[in-house]
Amino acid sequence: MYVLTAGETVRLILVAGFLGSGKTSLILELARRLVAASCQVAVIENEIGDVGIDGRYIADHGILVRELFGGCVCCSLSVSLVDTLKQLQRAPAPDYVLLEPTGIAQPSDLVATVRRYATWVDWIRVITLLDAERYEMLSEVLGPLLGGQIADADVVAVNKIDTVEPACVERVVADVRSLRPCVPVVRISTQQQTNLEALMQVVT
Amino acid sequence: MSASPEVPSGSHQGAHHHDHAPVRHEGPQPVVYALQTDLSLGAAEPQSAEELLGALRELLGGLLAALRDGGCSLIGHVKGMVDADDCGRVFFSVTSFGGTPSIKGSIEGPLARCRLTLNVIVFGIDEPGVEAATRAAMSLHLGPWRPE
Repeated sequence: MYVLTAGETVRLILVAGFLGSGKTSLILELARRLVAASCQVAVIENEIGDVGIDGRYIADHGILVRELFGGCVCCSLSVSLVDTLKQLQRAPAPDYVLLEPTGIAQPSDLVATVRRYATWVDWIRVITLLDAERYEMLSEVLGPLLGGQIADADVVAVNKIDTVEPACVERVVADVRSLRPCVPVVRISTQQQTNLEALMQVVT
Repeated sequence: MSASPEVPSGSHQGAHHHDHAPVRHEGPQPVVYALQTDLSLGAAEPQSAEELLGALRELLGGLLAALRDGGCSLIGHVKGMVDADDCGRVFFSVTSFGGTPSIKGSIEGPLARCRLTLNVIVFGIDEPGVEAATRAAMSLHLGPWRPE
């Protein structure tokens, strides 16, 4: 299902979303599923701070990880991102690269950088992950940021649906629909592994 | 493979206290603080993993309280790692003032030393405030563990 078609080089899945939305856990689950489907996978972890934590967590599960510290790949580390993609392209190139930007990154900036400077990456999908627990609170404070991340999504995944009332999840979905009436929305729980296969099918 | 155009230089470089360029939104900007330090028990008896994790929970609770007292309005995340080399490591994260820390991984005791890595991204408080809150929490809420 996830195998690349002839002529494809590297598929890039960008998992965007605010801090604490569950990006690292989702990337690990996506990576596990791709590996189980015999795909070669690499993960690029970007941390604003100078210390890496999420990359170590994913690497502990046997996934190839490249870490970019001390800035944001949507701005200061765009050069490093392109360099890292270039290094990963060298044999054995992964079939999929899963990229976790910082929680305040704008996916459109990343996509523009990759399309312009990493032209061998010819397939990009953006998953924007929303935290159902905190979405309503965060949207009051950081509405433009979240709105921008939703605007850039190929797929929106509403996470942590197991921790809130169904009505809360539907309010989040309705808000997404008000911004992007046609974008695919998948309700997931990474913790409970709910609907992750459905998300994979939508993404790939 | 076709040659790629030159990539522009980054607009800024991060530091230990990161100065992320204003992101493309009009809301509040995050403050980032990172810390990595060895912890030891000095002359005290080695602790079990449960005792170490208890101290970690106390630290996180104390840090969240200190951040709130310092004017922090929103937790992006407080996350980190406790690495005990051959004895294992745990990863932790909390995203709200009243939240229960998520702790993954495993450590086996008894332990006398470990390394703490902490990453704090918050809103509504300045960098010196975050550093002061972190230092205060580490001095008050880590039990017998002391930074080296």
